[in-house]
Amino acid sequence: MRIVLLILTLLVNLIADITIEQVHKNLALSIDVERKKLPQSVTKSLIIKDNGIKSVIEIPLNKKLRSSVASKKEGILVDFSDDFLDTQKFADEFNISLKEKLSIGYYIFENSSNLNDEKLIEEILLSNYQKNIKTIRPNWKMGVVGF
Amino acid sequence: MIKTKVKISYFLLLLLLSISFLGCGGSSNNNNNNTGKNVELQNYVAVYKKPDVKSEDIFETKLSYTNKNTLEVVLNGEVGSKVYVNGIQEGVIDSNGKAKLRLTTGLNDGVKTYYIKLKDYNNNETKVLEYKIKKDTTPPKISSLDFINVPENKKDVFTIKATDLNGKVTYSLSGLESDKFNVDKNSGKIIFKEAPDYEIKRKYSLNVIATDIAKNRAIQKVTIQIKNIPEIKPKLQSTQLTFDENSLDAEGKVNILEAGDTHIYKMVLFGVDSNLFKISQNGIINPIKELDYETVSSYKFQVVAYNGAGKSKSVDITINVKDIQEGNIWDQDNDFIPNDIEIFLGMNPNNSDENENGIVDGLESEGIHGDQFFTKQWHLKSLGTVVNDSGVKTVVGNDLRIMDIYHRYMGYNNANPIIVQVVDDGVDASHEDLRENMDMSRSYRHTGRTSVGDPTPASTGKTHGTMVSGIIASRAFNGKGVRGVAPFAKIAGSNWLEVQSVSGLEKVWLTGEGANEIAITNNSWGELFVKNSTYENILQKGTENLRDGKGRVYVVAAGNYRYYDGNSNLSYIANNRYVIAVGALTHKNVYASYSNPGGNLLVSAYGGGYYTNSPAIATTINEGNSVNSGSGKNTWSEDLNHNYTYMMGGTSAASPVVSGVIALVMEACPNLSWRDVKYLSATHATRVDAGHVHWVKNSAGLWHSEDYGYGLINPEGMIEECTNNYTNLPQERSFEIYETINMQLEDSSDVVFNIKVDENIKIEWIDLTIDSNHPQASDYRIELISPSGTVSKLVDWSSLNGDWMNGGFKFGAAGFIDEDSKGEWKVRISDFNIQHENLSGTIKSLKLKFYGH
Repeated sequence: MRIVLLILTLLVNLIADITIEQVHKNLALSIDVERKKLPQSVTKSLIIKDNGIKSVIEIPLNKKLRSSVASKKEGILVDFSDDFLDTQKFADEFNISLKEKLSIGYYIFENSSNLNDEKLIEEILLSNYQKNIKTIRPNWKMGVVGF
Repeated sequence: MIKTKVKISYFLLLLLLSISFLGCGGSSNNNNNNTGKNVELQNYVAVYKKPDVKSEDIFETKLSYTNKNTLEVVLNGEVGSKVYVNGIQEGVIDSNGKAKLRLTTGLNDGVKTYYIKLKDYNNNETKVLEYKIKKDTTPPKISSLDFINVPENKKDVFTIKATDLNGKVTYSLSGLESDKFNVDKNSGKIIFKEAPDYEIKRKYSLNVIATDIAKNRAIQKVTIQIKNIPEIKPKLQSTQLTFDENSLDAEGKVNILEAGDTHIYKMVLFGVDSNLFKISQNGIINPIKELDYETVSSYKFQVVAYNGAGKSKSVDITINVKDIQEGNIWDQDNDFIPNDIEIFLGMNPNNSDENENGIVDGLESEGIHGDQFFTKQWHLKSLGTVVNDSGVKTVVGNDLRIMDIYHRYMGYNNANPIIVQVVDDGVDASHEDLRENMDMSRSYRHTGRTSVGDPTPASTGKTHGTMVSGIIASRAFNGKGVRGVAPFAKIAGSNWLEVQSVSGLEKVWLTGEGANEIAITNNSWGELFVKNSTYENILQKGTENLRDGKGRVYVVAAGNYRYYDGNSNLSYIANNRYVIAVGALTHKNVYASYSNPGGNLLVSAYGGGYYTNSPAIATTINEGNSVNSGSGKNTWSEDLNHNYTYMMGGTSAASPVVSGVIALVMEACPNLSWRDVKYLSATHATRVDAGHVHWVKNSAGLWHSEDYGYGLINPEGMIEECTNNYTNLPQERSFEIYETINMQLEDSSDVVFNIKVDENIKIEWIDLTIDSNHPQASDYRIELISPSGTVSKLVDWSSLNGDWMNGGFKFGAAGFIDEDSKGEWKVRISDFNIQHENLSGTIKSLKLKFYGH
């Protein structure tokens, strides 16, 4: 089934036809409003990879996190590409240990290295393993709030 | 050989016809070669001859009758020639070369002879004609039989045959029994008006009459003998009929397969119960008096049918009496509480006002079965009253229109309650108005190690989840507090918000204890910006696998960041296709000032305004945690134990309203998949605030708005459809289109990309992923435009900082449901220049992914 979908996707990509209809300068798009100060303006920049996209994200910091983020070693979440099997070698290389594998395929590693979680992720994303990794994040609180 | 004979015969036939034509002469046509020929003209016979014809072409005679006794003759001749008839000049050939004569018949129908001469100017005799004219007195001759045998039950009789000198004959009937027949006056075909029945009448007499043009008539008496056909009994079929109780209009028909060799002429009923019914000759049965289901629910008797042959047949008839309740079959006393719940609670399902205070039990706020603050819950039933200390009245009619649903559905589901999971900061599981509805075997406690357990928050200050849970399923009719939208559904609580671990989320959303049976998960939480695919990865599994493959329904709050120019489409929790993203409405049926917009919104529900100046949502709160007087007052003074509050608001409140509604829908229609629930939510939502400019009607006729989604969730419409022959959506299909762009877009500019789509599906959802390195990606307004011209604004510029679109950001589009995918789509990206920052970026790629069927 996945193969069929893949073929379908490839076919569609082959016949994709995207053209630029118009680009036009629009002075109405210049607006003189002040950007609002967001409710959680204190954030921490982190390099992560999410579903294949490496990016810097801003983690909102509460008071508790502000003081502890530099030393946080709560572990990391890793989702490997489907053909990657040697997770033990990966763990050994970075001195981390598998804590749990989730049903969605994520590995949760305890951080027993001498790096904090932030630096550990940066290190992994600089290594040869980065190509085998779809997602890597610190295993921290997911950072949501009740509405 | 055979062909030759045919040819010869055909030739002979033509020859005979030619001779006949010449001999009979037609009627009043020219006759240039007519010496000694008889000419038949209407009701006369004219015999004429031309004894002295010198040249055929100088003489033309036209013959026609002007009345019964007069023959008109037109002669051709030399102008000025005199015309003599029997020696007397009767006329002159006029300037047209013609003279007209009128010749009458003889007396007593005898033959009269006319000698006609033409004399020229010099009195030279030029032409002589002789006419012998007599009246036609010969009647037609009837040649058909005067005794006919015909089988019974057939209408055809016979055809009268007659001939006449002048050819044309018409037919009619006379006699005492002629009214039993019809005759075709031209063809003479006679048929019975009704098929004869040997057993009723065996012989008929009538006169057949043939009349010619001269009104000469021939009459023949005909006797028609009816022939008997072997006897056959009627055939009937045992029949079960259903009659509404309490109605004399109830009606049913015996199934008559065959009448036998004649018609059914009598039907009678017999048997013990037959005296309560009557039957007509054609088998229609009616009750003689009103039936009562509660007294007798079924009757049996027999019907006997007699046909004209004297044969009879009897069959059994069963009349099932349909229970028509005084109000509702599921709610006998029509008090907005289903019978089974009344029985479960020890109430009387036939007494709509048990405490006799004039208020039906389902609306009761007093007594042991009342809900003390029900009248304050305007989202369930708006009474147009002040419901909190804001002093602002609600609006009658601005509610969920849910009361009629309560006649049957309250989440109880035949003692197998619908389970709604509340993933939040915990639920006060021992709360007096929640504990009876708690499903502790599926509740999770995440503090410490995630495990099945009491979801009560560690801190009493964590009240959010308890408020959310009360909106969904605080218990009704227990003499306490409030009631939930689905007040007999079960709550599976969780305090996941306190830990927010990925493994904990997977547990509650996907793999936890009894996960398969949890129908709905309510998630009244999120963040202004979330770019984390983990949520979607778990949701995908939950929709694919849970509920035996039908998928759990995940409801999420759209977010409360409108003030910050927030947008629900900036969160991967709310903008993926697996969830129902819910916006919030106030009591005025307009979007709440805090409620996030977004092209990903599916529906809205009541979240209320801020409780100090507007009606908010009444619900439970952790016991002892509300304030009923003085500063910080957030509950009614009558809430003596501080267990309830009137302050709940936000999309956090709107989301559980939708979760409760869906619990009722899934009780009514347990086979709906997660996609069906989304589809029904969208296609039946009510378009509130219809004058708002953001509403867009898509080509399938559905209205969508970035502020409202498809509108206010409509439980009645959803249940009405899903319980009436609704067919689940076909298997999902999807395809995607990806293109690298790498186009620099200047600030204060917009660009439109045309995207040709050849694949055609009925759309349920579209993901649009845009990769741009704009350093302030929130400067973009992004609109998706379908081939039919439907414009959906997916996201507008906002105050969010950073290049968050770098590497790609996926937006959801809910507004194209039921549109066709095929055609040319447009993506319009507008880069706002905020405060002259002059920031711009490169649009690197676009990806459109369509989902539908």
